[in-house]
Amino acid sequence: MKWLRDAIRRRQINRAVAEDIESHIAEKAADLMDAGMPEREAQLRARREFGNVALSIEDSRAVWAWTRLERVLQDLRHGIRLMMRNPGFTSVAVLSLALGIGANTAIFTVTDALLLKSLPVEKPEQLLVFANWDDAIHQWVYFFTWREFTALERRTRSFSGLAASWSADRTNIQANGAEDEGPVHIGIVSGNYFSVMGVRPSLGRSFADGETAVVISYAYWRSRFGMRPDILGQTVGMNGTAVTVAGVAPRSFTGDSVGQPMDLWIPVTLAPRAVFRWPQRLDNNPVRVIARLKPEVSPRQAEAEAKIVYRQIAQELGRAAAQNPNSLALLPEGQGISRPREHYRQPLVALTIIAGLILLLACANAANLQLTRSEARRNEVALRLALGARRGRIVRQLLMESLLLALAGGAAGLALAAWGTAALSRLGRLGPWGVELNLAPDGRVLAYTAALSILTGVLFGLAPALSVSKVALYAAVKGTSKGPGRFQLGRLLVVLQVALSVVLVMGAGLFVRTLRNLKSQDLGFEPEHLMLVRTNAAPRGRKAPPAGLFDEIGSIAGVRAVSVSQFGILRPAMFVEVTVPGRPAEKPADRIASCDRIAPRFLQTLGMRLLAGRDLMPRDMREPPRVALVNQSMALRFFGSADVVGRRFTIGDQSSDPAIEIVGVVQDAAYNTLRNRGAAMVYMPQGADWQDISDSTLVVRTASAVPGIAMQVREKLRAFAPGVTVRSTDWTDAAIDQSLATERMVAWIAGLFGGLALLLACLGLYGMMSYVTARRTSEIGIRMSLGATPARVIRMVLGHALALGIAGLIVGVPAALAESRLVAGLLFGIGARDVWTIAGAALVVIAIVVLAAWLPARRAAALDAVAALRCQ
Amino acid sequence: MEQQRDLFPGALEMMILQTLRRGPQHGYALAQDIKGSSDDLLQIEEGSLYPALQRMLKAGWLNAEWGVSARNRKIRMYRITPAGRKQLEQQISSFERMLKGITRVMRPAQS
Repeated sequence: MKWLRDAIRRRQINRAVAEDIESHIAEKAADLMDAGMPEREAQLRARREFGNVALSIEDSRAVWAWTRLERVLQDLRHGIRLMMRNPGFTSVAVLSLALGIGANTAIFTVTDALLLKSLPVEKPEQLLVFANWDDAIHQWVYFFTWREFTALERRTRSFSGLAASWSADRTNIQANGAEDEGPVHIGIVSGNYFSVMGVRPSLGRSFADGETAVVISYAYWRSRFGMRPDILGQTVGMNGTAVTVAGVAPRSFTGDSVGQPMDLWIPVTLAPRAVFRWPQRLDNNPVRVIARLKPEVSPRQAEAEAKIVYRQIAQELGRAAAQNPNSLALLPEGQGISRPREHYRQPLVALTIIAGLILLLACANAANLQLTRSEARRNEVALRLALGARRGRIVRQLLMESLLLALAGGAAGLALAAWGTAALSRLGRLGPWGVELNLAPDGRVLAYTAALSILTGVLFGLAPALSVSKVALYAAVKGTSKGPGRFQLGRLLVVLQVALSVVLVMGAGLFVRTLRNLKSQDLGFEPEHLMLVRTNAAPRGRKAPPAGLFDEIGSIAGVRAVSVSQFGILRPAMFVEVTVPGRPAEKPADRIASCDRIAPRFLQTLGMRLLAGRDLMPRDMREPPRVALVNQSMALRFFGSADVVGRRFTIGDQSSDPAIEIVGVVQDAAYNTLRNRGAAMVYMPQGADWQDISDSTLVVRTASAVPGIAMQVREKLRAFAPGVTVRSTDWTDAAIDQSLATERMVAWIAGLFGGLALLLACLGLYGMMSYVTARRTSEIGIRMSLGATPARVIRMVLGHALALGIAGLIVGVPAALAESRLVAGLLFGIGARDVWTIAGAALVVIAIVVLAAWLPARRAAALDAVAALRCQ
Repeated sequence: MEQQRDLFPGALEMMILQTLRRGPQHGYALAQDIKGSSDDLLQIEEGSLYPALQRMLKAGWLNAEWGVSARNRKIRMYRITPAGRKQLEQQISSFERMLKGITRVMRPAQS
């Protein structure tokens, strides 16, 4: 409460000084009157000789601390009053700033959570992960075998601990007495994982290697167990094995893969029993190797040691070494490793650019409005300067008003950001990676927004404030000041706005066309009336399902065809290494193809076109496979010809297996992603148990979008495939739409902001041209009285506007090209330097320029020459 | 905050302290006194007196209380404190040193 006491004291001082000065002047006047001066003259003289009373009071007050803050508060009050007096001005400025700041905040929230934040672990900077750059797929590869991990753990000295970590989502889980339809994400880790990560379970303890125990995540504890306090010691059924809950992880920790939270963790020694299709022998199990550095060892020393040790290990293992020992690297793991991060990096960069540009544009707009408004206050400012106000004080006050606008924009922006963040996070959840992020606005986000708002306020407030405070006193008070600053600065701002609009409109064009191209392409299959049913793994040791499930589903009214594949369309499948006898591939990248395992009638059900050869038959369903289908691109890339029926190849390391014969060539399809129709694709047959649809994707072709068909399919599965639970059922066209969520969002935001940019530029230009024509009223009057026609006047004004517009284009087009190069990776079916898009954007912007200038031009042309001349 | 002064920094304070050493005064009388005792050689701006007084109040060299003037007007009487006396002595000695220095520099030019 000291500040309150001080404030009261300051008020008293204020009053005391004022009273003191008044009595000073009164005493002096009395003295002068005693000397025979008339009262009026004595009063005036006493006052004159005293000097500036207000300044004296203010300086006296300034002696006491806190006045700086008090002044700020005073400016603040003044600013708020002004804002209230101009609701139109205020709302346009605040709204555009709110959009800019809100968009930036929302995108920063996601960027921060996905790309920037450290894992919530102890000393994250000490964590490293073993990695290897794979030239074939242009990605870091993080897996080493269990045998390599244990050898590394034994032989390295640089680390205080080495942990193994992998994850899986295909298993069969009973939690709290109920079947969990999942997906359940399982972290498969070494017994020291939690201690190496530096995470202490918030309840219970971690597990050791060899234990039949599980640590569940906080979220899983809440969603599946209702936060039961007696959770420790409960059992979870995993793939038919009862596993004891040993602990609950802290709320903040969701594993080392950012965006893909784990539901539970088990020791890797348990994985062969608890995880569906996990290799039974541990030695060649793939694991990710996470290391915690000893405090005294540098990452580089550790990497040098690890390279030497791994080279020895690889030598001992020979061909079985998982990685090339020469390209081993230790990467920082403090932020975790995340595939979604790589996937979303580019869209986030694009959105950041767009949001940054729109904020810049909102700044230019606010600066322009602020300039116009402070122009109207030129006389007020001049008067205050004349009365002894200091220039710094005036600049500070104008800046305060800008800051106030910016902060109001920031506050509204935070609300918008909450909405935007929710939309972005929904997109992430629905996207191909099922990203789950904790996006609650935290201190970092609030600090970012506050900093952005203040920066914005200074950015758009400083130039107008400085310009106005340089007013020429004498001219301004007389009312003839024209302020050359406004003109220069205003023109510059309009050019900037036009340039930014070009960039944003061009971006919008590129992204909207990308979305349209993706949607309208020939997919290579028929997406209408096609249902995708994804199933979970069935528990081990259940009875084999009776045959005839497919006939049963086929008998549902409205169903035309049914088939199954392991992965299904529109999601990543597996990569296989293809070797064609007698045709060695030069680059490793040329050996990789995508692969799915399909059942009979799959092509027919999807509506894929067979170009040559035959479809797969029930007799082809066997392990190891003897025959396969390939797509056109695979044929051309690996065989150099589309005529490949009867040719042979081998996959993976299985050189001992008989070669696989190609029996058919399928037309290219947008199988794994909509963007990569030209990927080489191999369709292998399922095994002999292809009717067991555990952990697969069923495809069901119907005559029309029959309602309730999903229910009927589920019922048939319950009856004829016991133990198999359904993870999801989707209509393919809806799933395609969903898979375009990111593209749609980017196109939508780019389009919205492009439109907004045009609107703001239009407003800015309109204001500018109105101002200019008003200032040139007398000049136009003279021109008209000398015989200029209205058309000529219109041409003159439009010409002026066009000159500004073209200046904007000159700056904007190269900037737009630079931007589109940055986002080139996101485009589809359109080049980053697409001439038509550039031309279109330029044309739209010029049209807007003409539109903005039209009204002022008409107004100028309608001037009455005599009245115009009299105006001066 | 910095204004052009005819006096060197601290001079006004020193004169105020010196004047007040003779007895408590109010602002106007203080200004008159300083003007008068300098035989009107020093024109101190009356307005600058009050910020200086506030500074000195804050530093604890003065205290102030309300009183009544000879003309029966409510006025504020300023009184020097022990700290103010000490300050004055220091200022005078450093002022004298400075004056001596300046005089030495200026003398040859005059002769």
